[in-house]
Amino acid sequence: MRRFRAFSIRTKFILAFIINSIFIGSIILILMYIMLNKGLDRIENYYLENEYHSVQSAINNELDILLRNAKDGAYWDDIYNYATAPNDAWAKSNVTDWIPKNFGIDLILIFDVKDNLIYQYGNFEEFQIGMDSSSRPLIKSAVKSKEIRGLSSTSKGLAYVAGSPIMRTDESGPRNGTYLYAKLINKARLEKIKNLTGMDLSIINKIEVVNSTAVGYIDRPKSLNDIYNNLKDKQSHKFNIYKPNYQSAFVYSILKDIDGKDIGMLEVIRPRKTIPLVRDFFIQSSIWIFIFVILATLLTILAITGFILKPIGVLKKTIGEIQRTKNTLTRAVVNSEDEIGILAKEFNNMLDTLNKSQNDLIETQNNLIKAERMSALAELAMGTVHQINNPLSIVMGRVQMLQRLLIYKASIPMPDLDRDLKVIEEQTQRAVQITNSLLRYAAPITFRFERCAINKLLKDTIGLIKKQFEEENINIAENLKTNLPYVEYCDHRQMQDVFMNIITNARQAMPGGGKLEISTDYDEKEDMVYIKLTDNGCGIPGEHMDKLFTPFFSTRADGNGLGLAISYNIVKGHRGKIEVESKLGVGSVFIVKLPAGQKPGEKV
Amino acid sequence: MKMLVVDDEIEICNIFYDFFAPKGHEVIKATSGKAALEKIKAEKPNLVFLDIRMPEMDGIEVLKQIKQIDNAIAVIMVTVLNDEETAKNAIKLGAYDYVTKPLSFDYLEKAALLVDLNLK
Repeated sequence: MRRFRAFSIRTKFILAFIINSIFIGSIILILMYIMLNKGLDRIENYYLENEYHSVQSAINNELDILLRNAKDGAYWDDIYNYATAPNDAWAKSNVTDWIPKNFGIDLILIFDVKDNLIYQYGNFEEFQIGMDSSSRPLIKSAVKSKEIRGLSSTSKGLAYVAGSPIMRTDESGPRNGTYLYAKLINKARLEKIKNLTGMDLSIINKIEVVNSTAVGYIDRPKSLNDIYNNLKDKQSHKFNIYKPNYQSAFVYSILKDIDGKDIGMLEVIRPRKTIPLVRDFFIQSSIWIFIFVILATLLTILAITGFILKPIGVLKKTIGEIQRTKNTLTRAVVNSEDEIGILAKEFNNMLDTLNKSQNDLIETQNNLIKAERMSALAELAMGTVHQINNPLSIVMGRVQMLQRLLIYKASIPMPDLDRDLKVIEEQTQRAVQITNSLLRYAAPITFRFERCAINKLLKDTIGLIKKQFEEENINIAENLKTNLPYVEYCDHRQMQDVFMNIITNARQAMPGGGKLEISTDYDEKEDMVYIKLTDNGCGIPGEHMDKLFTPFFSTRADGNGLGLAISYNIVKGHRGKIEVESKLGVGSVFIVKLPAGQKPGEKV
Repeated sequence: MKMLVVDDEIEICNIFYDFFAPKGHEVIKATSGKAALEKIKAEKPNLVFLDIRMPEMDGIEVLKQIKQIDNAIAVIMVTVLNDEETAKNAIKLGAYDYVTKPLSFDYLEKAALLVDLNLK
């Protein structure tokens, strides 16, 4: 799912479409396939019916021909006469030698009016055409009344049988016997029907013994006995079998002889050529249609997403450009007026608003900087006033006192004069110092940069104060890193002032003695040398922390509040940083960070 | 008259001392608010010159505490010129008056005299 989210809109569209097509397409194709099969079934069944009927007609037709032939013989006056007075010589030349040869008749029987067999061609016993003792009267009676035709079972197979009463050609006079033809339905006959109807068929006789399920290349769906029993149970003359997976469709009917006895079955087989053909065609065309639809829709999606994505691309490009160039005057040019067009317009509006607020912000910032500068200046001025005011007050007080002595006593006692002048000199000196410091703070510092070993510089500085610290019971611990890189650009003297200042502050924070730890380290990643000065003095109150480096901020009466401010400027001039951490009653940590290799600007 | 001078700068205290002591006043010096309050309790001065700007405890805080200890003690605030607002507030809190640095001895003399007269 997460991977799907990362896809582009175009891919999502295409995926959604493909899933949709496969889903809906499959359902439609399956439905169509089912419908097609049903339709094909119906068509197949329809053809099967038709062809079954045509086979039936062909058989009837054969029987009709046979009957006509029999009738031709029966209505022949010579036969009429023969039935009255049989003449073997005539029969041989006019019936035996002539009729079977010309009409393909396998059995000829002539009965006289008393139903005695007076002529026989072919093997009568073999045929037994309804002439067994039980069925004979039926045939006879049928023959007596009118002509008859039908099927009959013989020991050689089924046969067509047709019979007619013997009459005069002009139908004058009474019936004079029965004339009967029979024709075996042999292989040649079947071939004839097959050719006539174009159907595969077989006549199955002796149902009781036929149990095979295979006829040549055709696999019958059921055994013939089963089919026969089924037909008998259904009291139906016809039985269709069609199964979609069979290559052929089958239809069966029971064949009865003229006595109504079941003597065999007619099997019509129709090869199902159309179904596989149509099915293959359907599948092939479905595949092509599927491919065509997918291609067409893909093209459409590409075109549509192109239309949709192009303005989005413009937006994206514009945003990227703004991010790169920081130029918020860049605008997205989108011509469409749809939702994306509106989005682009809103985006441009947003940029306008952004520009305006940016300008406002810059203005506010400028005003703020101006105000801050003013206040810094005011603070500086105020600090100066406070710092200078005390020595001035003292000087002025002493001068006024001397004046008064002159006015009221006309002379000044020497000790008073000496004392007052000493104070005046001291305080004037102090004022000069303050102005000098101020000058040093305010004037640009000039640096003389050179390669400097910070550890050595710190050792020198410690050497200067060691004695004083010992006197004040302050223990100095050195923890200097070996192989500390040089600081390539360092003003030795000014940096010593910085350390001296911090150390002095620490000393003053530990009036009853304490411990000062001086350590160095190197940060390889930032290429910075760290100098860490930790004392366990009184600490700095939280409210003083952010004023620590502002000029004239001092908590000491004798401090001018410029030491740390100047130190800050010196370290800044080295592109370094001063950081302070402090906890009241625990102590303070000053960390000076100096870039080891970076060349700073010459002046700050 | 007994007066107390409170200023973190000892030289300022010295000026007051050198000016008033020869005139027969008893001048006590204190260089922090804390020391000042202790001296007020111990010495009970009539007049206090109190510097406003002092580290740790500033003059205003000291003034409030003095007024709690003894409302009768006259307190004259000492301030710089640009800090007169604070000084005026101090008068509301019960200060007698204020003076600005640099100091005018004419005024100091007059103020001391007035306090002295009020006492009598």
